[in-house]
Amino acid sequence: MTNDFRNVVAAELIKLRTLPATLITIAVTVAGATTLAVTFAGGRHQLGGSASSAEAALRVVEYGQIGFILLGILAFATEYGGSQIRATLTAVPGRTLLMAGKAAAYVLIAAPTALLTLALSLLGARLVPGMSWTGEHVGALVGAGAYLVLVGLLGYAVAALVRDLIAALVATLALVLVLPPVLAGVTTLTRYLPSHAGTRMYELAPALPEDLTPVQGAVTLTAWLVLALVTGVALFAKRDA
Amino acid sequence: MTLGNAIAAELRKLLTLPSALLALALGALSTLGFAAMTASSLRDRLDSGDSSALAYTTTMETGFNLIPMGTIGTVVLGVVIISSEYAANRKDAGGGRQILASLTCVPRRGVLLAAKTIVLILVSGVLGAVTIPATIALSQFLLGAHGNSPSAVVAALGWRAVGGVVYWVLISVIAFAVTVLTRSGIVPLIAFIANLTLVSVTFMLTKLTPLANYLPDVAGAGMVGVFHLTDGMLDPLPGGLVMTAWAAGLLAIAARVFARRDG
Repeated sequence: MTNDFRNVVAAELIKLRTLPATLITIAVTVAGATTLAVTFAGGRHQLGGSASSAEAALRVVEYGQIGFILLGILAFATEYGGSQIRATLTAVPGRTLLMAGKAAAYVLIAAPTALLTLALSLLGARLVPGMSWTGEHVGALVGAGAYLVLVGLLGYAVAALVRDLIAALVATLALVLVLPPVLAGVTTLTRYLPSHAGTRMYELAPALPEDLTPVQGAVTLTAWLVLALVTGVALFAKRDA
Repeated sequence: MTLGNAIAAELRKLLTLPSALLALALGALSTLGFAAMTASSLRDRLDSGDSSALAYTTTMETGFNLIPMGTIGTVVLGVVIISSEYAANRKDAGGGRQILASLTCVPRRGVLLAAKTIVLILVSGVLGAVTIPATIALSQFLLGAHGNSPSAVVAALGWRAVGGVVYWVLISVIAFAVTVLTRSGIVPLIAFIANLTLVSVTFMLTKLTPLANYLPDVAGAGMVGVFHLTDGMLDPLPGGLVMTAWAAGLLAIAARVFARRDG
């Protein structure tokens, strides 16, 4: 195999999409998100929501992001479940090239999954009696799709750092879900944490008065990703497989 | 092999597992560390006369309200004590799984599972019994002049601290029982870590149906009293019993499945 970027992406795409765990993750994410959106729509009186289907779909992102984090982790960590990484590196010795190919394969799978997740959540919520959608919050929905893909890349970068599925999962979930609310009482700097900043890409109103604007949030999350990915690539290039 | 020997073996296996040691450190240090940060920041705000400082908390609750977050340590412990048995070695090291060696040494599966359960209760119990009182003491100390007297703290938090230890132990046993069924740590880790945060599905369900108050983590929350408190929440004792029943029931199912399937 010539080490052309397109070939690397094609190979990584085959590896990722034929992994049973990938298909299960996508199915559970899409089905779970749709179920939650219907729950938010149907239970809007008890759960404090409006009749807007877009709002119900946006509330799902906080839960659905877990599926994308797992997808990003799977894209890298499954190489280390056995010794597949050696076969992979024999075929593609260029480590930066390999990391880029894997990331591209993840994005090619995550982007349609995000689209499907949000579209079915929106549709599911819309079909609940009394719900409507008149085309509002399109910007937030696009931001939600972008956030879901990006937060999975965070999982991918963490997996490249720790090279273990379970450790990557615990670390990323702690960083994304546990840390922001725990630190919120201590410092306003939490607005710069990757997940809290990224949340601004799809939130309709800032949760805290000192929160960033949506564009600042997107830039902050992207900056974290660049930092994490560059560190991941540097370590991957330096370490023994 | 007697149960006593099996317990000694499982204890040694758990305490030499790097991921278990990380879980212990995560549970203890993150709870203490975040409690210290929260208490110091509250003291500074009180010193500077910030009137909104006590809007969402009290000097008694500060630090103690991190008990739910700290279960991340015992959840990881409950998961890895069994998922590590099923992780395959590298192919050039034989590609084997530790569960085969474990079952060769302790062929009676009930004994193996009982030994693991006892070791898990012991270790997560000690982790809770050390971390939770230390968290309370550290928070009150760091509050300085705003802290409460030891007798007032014991009166206000005494039984809830005990409830916190019981909660930590039971949640780890429940995570363990679920992982025995799944054999992989991915699903239980996601479910239990996500559920202890703001995106808790079980607490959301309590708003839709009162039956959700009987889910294990919601029922047990009454023992600690610092979760998203809801109206229909069970009292500490019945809540604790409901959570114990969940742990025992799931453990019974796990034992049945574990005894009947191939390693």
